[in-house]
Amino acid sequence: MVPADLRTPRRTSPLGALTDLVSVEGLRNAAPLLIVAVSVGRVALVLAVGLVVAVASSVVSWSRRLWSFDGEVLHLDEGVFVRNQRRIPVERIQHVELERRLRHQLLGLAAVRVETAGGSGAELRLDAITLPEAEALRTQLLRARDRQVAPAGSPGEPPWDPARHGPPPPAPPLPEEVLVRLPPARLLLAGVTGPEVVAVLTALALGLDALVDLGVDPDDLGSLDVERLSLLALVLLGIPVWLSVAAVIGLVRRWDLTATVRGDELRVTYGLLQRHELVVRTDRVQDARVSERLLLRPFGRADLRLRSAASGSGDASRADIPLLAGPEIDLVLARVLPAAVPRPALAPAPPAARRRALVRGAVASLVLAAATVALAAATTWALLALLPVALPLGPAVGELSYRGLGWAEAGGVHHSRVGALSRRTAIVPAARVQSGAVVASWFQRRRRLATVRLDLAGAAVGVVDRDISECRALLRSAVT
Amino acid sequence: MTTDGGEELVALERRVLSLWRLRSAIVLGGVVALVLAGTAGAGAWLAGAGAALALGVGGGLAVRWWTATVWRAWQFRIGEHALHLRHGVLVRRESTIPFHRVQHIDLEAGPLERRLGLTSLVLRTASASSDSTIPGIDAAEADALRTRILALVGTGDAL
Repeated sequence: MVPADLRTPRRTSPLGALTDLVSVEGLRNAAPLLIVAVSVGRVALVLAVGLVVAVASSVVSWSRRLWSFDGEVLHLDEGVFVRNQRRIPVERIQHVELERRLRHQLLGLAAVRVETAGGSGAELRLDAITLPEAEALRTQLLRARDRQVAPAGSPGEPPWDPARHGPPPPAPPLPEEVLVRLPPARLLLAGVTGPEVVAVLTALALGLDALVDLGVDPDDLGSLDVERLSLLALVLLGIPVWLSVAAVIGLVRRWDLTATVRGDELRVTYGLLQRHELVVRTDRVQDARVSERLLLRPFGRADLRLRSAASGSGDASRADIPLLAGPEIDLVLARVLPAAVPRPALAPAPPAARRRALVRGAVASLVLAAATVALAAATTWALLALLPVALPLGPAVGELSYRGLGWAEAGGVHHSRVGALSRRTAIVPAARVQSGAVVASWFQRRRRLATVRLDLAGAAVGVVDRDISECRALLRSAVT
Repeated sequence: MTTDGGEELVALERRVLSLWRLRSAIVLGGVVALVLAGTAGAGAWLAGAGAALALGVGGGLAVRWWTATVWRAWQFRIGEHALHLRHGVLVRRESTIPFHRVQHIDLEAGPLERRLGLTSLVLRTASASSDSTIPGIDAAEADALRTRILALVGTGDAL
């Protein structure tokens, strides 16, 4: 019953390949065919041809799919036109999963999903092989991986043997330490500066619109004569309502936002009506990002985002802690990326980067000015009064974006900042960098500038507009 | 460190240039055929033939020059510890992919590539943004190359 040797290349189950046709995906693929069939009017013929083609293609692709496991590397060769030969070394495997849908259970089959860390295409699926094969493969993969990753077991700590030592002692409860708890005043600020502020404005505008649609004359609203009080009154009344609603929503959504550490888990909890809890393993944090949003900069606050390499993707592997003061950011960083603190002063980009930013701004301004002149010629020359405002705008933004650039490396951690108005600083330990590149556009090369791209699990971080030789040195130090 | 100095960067197989030209020729041929069909449908035979000829010759020369430029700009080196790529004409890229970060290695070959005896080698790391494809190496060498790199992948935790 148990397949003795997975070394010899073998096919997946032929039954599995055929039942694929009646799976949800198979039926979904057939849907457009059905539409064609109905519109052509020869339903039976089109469906018969479609069925033959589908069966033939699944038979052919099944016949070209071979897999094996030699004890160190999992092999999968597949593809009819584009041949794809995949090799996954066991030590890269994060997770092996058997999946048994209804059709698998009926036929005694299983689909095996092998996950490696993050990234695209970093997953392999065998659909389907027989259940004994699948179980043998899972056992062998996991056993081989554990042998590879921990060759001699953890030294000094013999495995717990229940037969000799009795049941393992209960783990002592780990102490929980509160790192940050945001006071309500700051949560009000969160609402006023966060996405709520836009949402509330939109809602108010829609609401006003709806009132007018319902036949409510704006003049009747609290017997206000909109004509006379004009826009000023609306603005004076509207703005406080708008901001206070946004602030209250912010308060409710992020109520009691707390970041705590217990053992190697960082936990962020918040919310009054709907309670949220985000958990990040501190030893799996890949990078941190500090966003000094434009509206927060006057208050000396910034949002902190931590990203970890969880299998799977999306929000599950992220934790956001908004509106922190500088020392609070350091407090959290000290737990998740200890080498990142103290955060070093960032070195500005070279003067060539300023010239590039100014030229880019000036070009944008000239385009804007040309558009203004064209519009003025078509409508009214009074528009030309805008030119003194529009022309310096581009270079001003260019200067700001140059000042936003900064980079420093300390203790094996790279800190890279970008942004003209809102500034974002990425904090990346070199030990987490998967690969990297020095990228230089034609415009950058003219000024001997380049950008370094550091590839992380789930993100890429840029160090923008440094001297090209500095970039090469940076890449060598970061990508090891 | 990834500075495995000494070795020189090598160019892609000359056949890759043929592959790119073949692919572009197929696209260009399709466009020319569309122009011919469109103008013939509108009854403008002569103008259509002239446009198709100009498009075919002009496009062909442009493709020939551009593919050669891209090919010349493409170089790679399989170092002791890392793969180094250098490519790009308008935007130049110099990429480094350390072998101990490699999660797995794919070989990919479409019908044209197989006919030319070529295959693409893709090193997959945990990062989706890694630039780690060598677009054309000799199919006969690919497997040995992959085995060599897999041996260098090592056992460290790649995250």
